[in-house]
Amino acid sequence: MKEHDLTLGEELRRQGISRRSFLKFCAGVASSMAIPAAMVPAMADSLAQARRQPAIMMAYQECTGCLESLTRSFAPTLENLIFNFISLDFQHALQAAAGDQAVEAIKTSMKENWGKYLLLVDGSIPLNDDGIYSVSHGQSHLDSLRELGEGAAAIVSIGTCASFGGIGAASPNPTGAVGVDQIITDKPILNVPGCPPMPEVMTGVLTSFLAFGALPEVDSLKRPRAFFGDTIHDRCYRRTFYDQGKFADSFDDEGARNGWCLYKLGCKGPITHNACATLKFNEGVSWPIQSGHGCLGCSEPNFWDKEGFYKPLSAGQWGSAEGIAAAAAAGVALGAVSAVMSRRNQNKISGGK
Amino acid sequence: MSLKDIPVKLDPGPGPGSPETTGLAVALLREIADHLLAVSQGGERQVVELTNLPLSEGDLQLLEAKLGRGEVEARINAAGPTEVFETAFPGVWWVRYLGEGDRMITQQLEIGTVPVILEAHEEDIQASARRFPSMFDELDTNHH
Repeated sequence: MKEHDLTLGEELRRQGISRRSFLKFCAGVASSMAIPAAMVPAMADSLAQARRQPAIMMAYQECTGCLESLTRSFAPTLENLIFNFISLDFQHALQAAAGDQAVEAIKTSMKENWGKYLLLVDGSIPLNDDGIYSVSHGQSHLDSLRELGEGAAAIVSIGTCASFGGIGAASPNPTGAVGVDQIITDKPILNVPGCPPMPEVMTGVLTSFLAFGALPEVDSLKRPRAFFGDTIHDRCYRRTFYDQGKFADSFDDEGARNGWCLYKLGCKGPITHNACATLKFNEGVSWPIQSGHGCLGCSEPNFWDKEGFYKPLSAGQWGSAEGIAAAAAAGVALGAVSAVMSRRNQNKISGGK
Repeated sequence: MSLKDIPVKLDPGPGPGSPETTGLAVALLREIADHLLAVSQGGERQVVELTNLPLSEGDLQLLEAKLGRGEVEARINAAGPTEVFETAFPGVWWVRYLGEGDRMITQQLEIGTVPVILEAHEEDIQASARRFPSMFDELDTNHH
């Protein structure tokens, strides 16, 4: 029997992976996606019935940072399971094949899985001069995306470049770089921005696609709400210092040493939607703010060109200590409101449970 | 001056947190009471996810103190360790899913006869029933 003919449940059993491991994996994913825990056994059942998902991952105008992040996930034993759930038919940095053989692998997978494969893209796509600035195997990435996009069941844009153009599109954007959804408009597209994106989000997205047969609920920027529903500021452990008006004024002052709020040092947490504050990076070791640096806002469009990383968000409008104090006072009230909003958002996702 | 002369202070991040309770623990205990009543009357298994709730360290300590420990403690080794213990209230279970180095992935309170992760599952039982008879082949070979 061919690998693709087995259900995931059958395949895992064949590999000696118990149902308990499967349940635990689903419990971890459900928790990170705010899916009600009581649904975990049903999710595991549904996942067990799914077939292995063919996937093609294309690297366009990118730096491989996204792939570096995805291969360093938070619970290796659990995350390894996801590789049993997908059949990654092409990823140029991970596969042994190169040149014609590798291109052949794309063609074969496209032919066998037309209309069914998941297309994962990292990197932006240059539009200027017919996309000549980014080419693999004699084909521009613009043509490659159009061709692969046509046969895809859905597309996941991994990282800020594939989602919004990212670094490649930074001013003056010499190559005319854009994100996937500015080229493909007739397919379900999910954006998982971040520079790099969080591996847990990819695991969650892939698992829910397999278990529920659809991409998860998204916000106006096509980001999965479960992970991008709250701002960094909403979930920041230093939020209490913001509410108390305790700020670091420079990177070596008393405030910085005491771990106070980095708002005045340019933290973009209040306008940045991502899950770093709760999931963290590198197997849960740390994340930018815990390392003493403000959030760069890397999961938002045009983050590279927004004012400058060390300029306070309020500088344009207030620019004075009084203004910041006023913002902090407003923050207390806003904090209470956003806590309620976050709860409401989660209730919506979990059906009121 | 060398690098060693610069004092380094590590930020433990969202560490032990505040010892104060937020009122959430008491609200949770009431929710658990409702679930337990429903389950005792034949209702479906209920699960309360703790990881996503903004519980303070004080809240968690209060929960643990009020729920106490019961007769069962178990450690499961499947995709890393999972710890299960029954609270002093039969039918209320504390389940901790751990990753590498016992790092918490998620923890839940499960209200029901036995946590799902602890049961032997139908598919695994079927597979073991198929595997079991091969033992007799080995035994036969050794005897002859």
